[in-house]
Amino acid sequence: MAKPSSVTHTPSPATGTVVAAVREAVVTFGETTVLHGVDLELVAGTVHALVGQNGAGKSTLVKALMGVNPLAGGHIEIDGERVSISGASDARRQGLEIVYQDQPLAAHLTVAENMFLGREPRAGGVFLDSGQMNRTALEVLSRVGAVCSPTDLVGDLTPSQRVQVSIAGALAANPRVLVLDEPTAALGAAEAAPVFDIVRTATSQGVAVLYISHRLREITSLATTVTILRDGRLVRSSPAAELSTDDMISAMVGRDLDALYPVVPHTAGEVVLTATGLKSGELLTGMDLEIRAGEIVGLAGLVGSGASEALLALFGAEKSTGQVSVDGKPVSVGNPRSAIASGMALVPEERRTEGIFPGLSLLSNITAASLRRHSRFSVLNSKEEKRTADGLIDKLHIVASSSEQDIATLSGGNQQKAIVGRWLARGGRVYLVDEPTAGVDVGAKIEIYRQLGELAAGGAAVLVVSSDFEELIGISDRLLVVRDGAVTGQYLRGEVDVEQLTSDAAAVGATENEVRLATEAPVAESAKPRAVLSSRPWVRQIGLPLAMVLVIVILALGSPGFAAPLSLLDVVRQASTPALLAAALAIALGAGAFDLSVGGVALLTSTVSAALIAAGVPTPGAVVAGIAIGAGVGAVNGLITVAFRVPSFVATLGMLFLLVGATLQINGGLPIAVAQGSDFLMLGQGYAGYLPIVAIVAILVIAVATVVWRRTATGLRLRAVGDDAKTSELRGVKPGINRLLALILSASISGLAGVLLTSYGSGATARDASLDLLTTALAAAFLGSAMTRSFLFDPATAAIGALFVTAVGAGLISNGLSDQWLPGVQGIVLLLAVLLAVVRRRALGQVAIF
Amino acid sequence: MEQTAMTATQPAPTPTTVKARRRPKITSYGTVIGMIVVVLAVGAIKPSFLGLPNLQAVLVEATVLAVLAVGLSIVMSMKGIDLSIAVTADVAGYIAAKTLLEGNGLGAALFAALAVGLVVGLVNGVLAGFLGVPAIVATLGVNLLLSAVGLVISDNGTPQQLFTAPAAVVGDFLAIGTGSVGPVRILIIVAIVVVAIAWFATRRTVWGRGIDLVESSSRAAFLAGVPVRVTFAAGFVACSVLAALAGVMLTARTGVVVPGTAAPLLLDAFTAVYLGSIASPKGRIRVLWTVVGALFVALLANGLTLLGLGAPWRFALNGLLILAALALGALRTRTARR
Repeated sequence: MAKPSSVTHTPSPATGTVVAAVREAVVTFGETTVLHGVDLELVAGTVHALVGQNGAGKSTLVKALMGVNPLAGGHIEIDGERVSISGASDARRQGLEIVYQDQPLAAHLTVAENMFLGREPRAGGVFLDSGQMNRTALEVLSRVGAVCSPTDLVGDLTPSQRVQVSIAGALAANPRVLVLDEPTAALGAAEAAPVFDIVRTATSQGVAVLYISHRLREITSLATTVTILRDGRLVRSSPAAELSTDDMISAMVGRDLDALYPVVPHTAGEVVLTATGLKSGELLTGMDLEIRAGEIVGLAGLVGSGASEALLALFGAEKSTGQVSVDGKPVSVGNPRSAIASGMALVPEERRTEGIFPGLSLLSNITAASLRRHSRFSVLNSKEEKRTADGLIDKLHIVASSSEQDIATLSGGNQQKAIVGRWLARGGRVYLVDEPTAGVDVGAKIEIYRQLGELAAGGAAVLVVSSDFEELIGISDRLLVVRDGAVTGQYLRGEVDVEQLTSDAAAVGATENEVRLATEAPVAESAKPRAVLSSRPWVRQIGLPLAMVLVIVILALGSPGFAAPLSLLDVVRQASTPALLAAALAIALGAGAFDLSVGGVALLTSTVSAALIAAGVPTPGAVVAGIAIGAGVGAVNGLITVAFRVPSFVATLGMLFLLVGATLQINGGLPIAVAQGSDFLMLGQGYAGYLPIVAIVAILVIAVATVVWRRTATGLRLRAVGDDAKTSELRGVKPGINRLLALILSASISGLAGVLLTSYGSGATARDASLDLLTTALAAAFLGSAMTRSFLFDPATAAIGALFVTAVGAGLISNGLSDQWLPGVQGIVLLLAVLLAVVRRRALGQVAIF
Repeated sequence: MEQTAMTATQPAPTPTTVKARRRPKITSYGTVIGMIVVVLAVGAIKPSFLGLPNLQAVLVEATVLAVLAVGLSIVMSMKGIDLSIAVTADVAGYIAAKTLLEGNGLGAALFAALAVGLVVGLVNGVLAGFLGVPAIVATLGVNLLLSAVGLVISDNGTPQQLFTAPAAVVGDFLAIGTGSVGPVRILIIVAIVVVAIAWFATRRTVWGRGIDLVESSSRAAFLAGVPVRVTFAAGFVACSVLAALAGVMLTARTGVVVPGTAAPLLLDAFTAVYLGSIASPKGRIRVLWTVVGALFVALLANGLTLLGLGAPWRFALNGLLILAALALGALRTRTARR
């Protein structure tokens, strides 16, 4: 791993030297060559812009530089020396940092934790040096002008702040080369301005920046050098000052595409769709539209312009406001079902995740939106379904062996046709088509264009969004230019070319600077009020603990005997083993592993320790055996989960059975008593002064676990894996090994809890208590997670949850309630705590069950 | 694959295209074959195991588990989970017995039990489907609550004994559990009817298709206008009603009900669903395959008892079988990926 990064030892290379270079890079995928000998030089203190259309090879080139794509030819130089880079972490070691488009961050971790995940500064080799983390983070954040505190949760940040944090995280590693892959793609114009400032700051400190963007206006204002790729070849590389945006566009385009757009005659009729003042999120600021029957209208906007968002808002897939009507009848916005009922149809951009139903047949995919039509009294009519599907497969020329074929096995173009078919089966009037040809080959493109034409010829209104402006010009009867969330211009067919449309959509002009001025001013000032703001989470958090204290106080008022010190100490004693189990489970859950076996482990070690003591083994032996058995079980759980790549839920379910079986084998279905007077019983029943020994042990173990969890690099990684496994993996933090570790920790603590249970109860019961122990621990762990700021699982709060549940139970009993209600109290407390989380619109720490 | 290979200009094949390739028939039924081998092996050691009387007894034993597991499979096929089924069965069975012993007749008893299931299902469905509480937490909370309710209404677990009550009061009810129509036990008929209805509802109705769509991609289902929340919540309702019915069947069979009786069935039901899904050729959770899983779990328990192996072995073998099935499933996907 990289050594702790520090910003102070900047080996700032002299501006003007070539830091890194790609020489004649050739990249092949199978038999296809996608990069044909491209050169690229990155110079310290400058911005090198890389532009090209989708599929021109920009990402491929960057991934080759970062050691992700192996080179089939050519090589990479760092400081003029040939190097071979093997993988992302190697690239990092060489001083290359990359910020991917929509760089993923772990939402429930803080800004500083995200910035240093995978290369945490450590104190004493183990502990997180949070002082240095926060200092460095603050320093880098202020250097890049980010308006957020290192201790803010990433989930609370705006999209623009997230980009700032991503870039700051890369800069904190003090890189020599910084690659930014479309950093502004998800941002509006106003939000993008701070990003440009970061880039300027970075270059002024000698960093070589490689900047990829579709927004040509950004490039003209930022870049020193521009390299233009087309079809995997370098078509031009020259100083930015020598290139106009027009030059860039014509270098990027330049393909013969005459035959691509089949002519399907259609004529516009009545207005079908009208929208006024359509607003949604931050990008769509008030759009007016009117689309006629038999008309194809293209929305031409850059990423982040609000064009795609307009489609989702019209369809009701995003929260939105404004008036929308179809055929003069108003449609209630914000609900796809009413949009569909009015005749709207969405062909989404993300075909694989939003369009198709993978694993289901072509037939099911086609009839998904028209099930009512293919059923009577809710019973599906398979014959009719088949007729519809076969008819559409025929009509749309979908290439498939039969309507039963799994749609995931079809090509992208055929999948796209099936989605169009889904809406044809429904009889849609308005087609909202987002990036219709993303990721499909040329042959399928022609088919799709013809279909769009036929939809219009059939009297439908078609609204298309595409980032490929050539395509948009080729198919649209009318083009609307979208910028900053509104329509800013209109062209009819033949009135505009790609160059004009691109510059319109990018609108190089005064607006950007005005916006910049407007956003820059408050930046410096708002840094202060923010400090006050960041203390607010405590205020938000205090509610639940206050409520919990209040409940205990009320119970104590009702029954003074309950509040007596001895009685309270007894509650603590009673809560010790549940607290340990809750803490154990919280560690597993917090690392994204479900451990069903905690109760089973405790059951087994309880029985084993009782048997060992009965056989004359000294107390330390029994304790060590309990912990060792736990660790062993945890290791098996983890290895099965990792090796078979199965959900830990199932693996630990199997383990739970095994453990119960083993327990029954040992105790033969009978309780095992520990003789009174054995010093082993001191552990669970003795007192050190006034304090119960069992509570001291539990507190010590939970305290250590909590320090590991919150304050060490290992703990941070465990939490990160639980919060967002994908992000962690990108930072070189492996989910598998960390989950294995979490399962071992959790089972070891459970093992200890089982031993204490035996000592506390003077022996092991014969009853199979594994499920009871598990459910109590689960309830406490979830209750504990509701107590934390980010709703992540935490051993300490889980233990407090267990203590609370035990105390409430004891308090209710001393108030005269029957102990039969104890599980009910647990259940109600759990549901209330979780509903609180839901009300606060917090995503709970997601537990991967499957 | 042929089609994608012909037309793809994008070099990287999507993982879905590879995974969905047709597998050789024999490996896709490997788990079933394994199950049959285990059953035959037990039969070889203990011939009476495969004798008709014993098989009939196992079938009766399996009915309660099958009904419970089928309900669970509906929820789990939508990536949900229901931890409250066993305790729902307990409470429903108890309330049915109580209603009956108070002299309200068979109809009222059945109605009361199914009403318990309906209410529990609605609560679970609203919590998980509409309020967005993770299903595991929602049903855990409901599970804890119901187990308290069970203790309270039973006065801390006092059994309700039906078999000592006058036949005029409980006779009809107990006939469900012990009677036969011709040679076939009523319990088996009930289970077959339940399975048939569940199969029909999940395979042949709009709701069932909705379940498939939600299972495949809930986002795409939302964008295709499928009422995702209602579909999800309805799964919980179906699951809880079936759990209540299973409770009634259990009570009618044993003639005595005490809260906690059904608790072990929770893990058995999970096992049945998992084994069934791993045994199914496409690795999906399906009603009929869940029944296969439930039958196997029941057969195994019975076989081990016949072999003189007690509870420890039953648990241990259940655990080992789950792990073995997991390993088998992992091997299968790995070979399929090649």
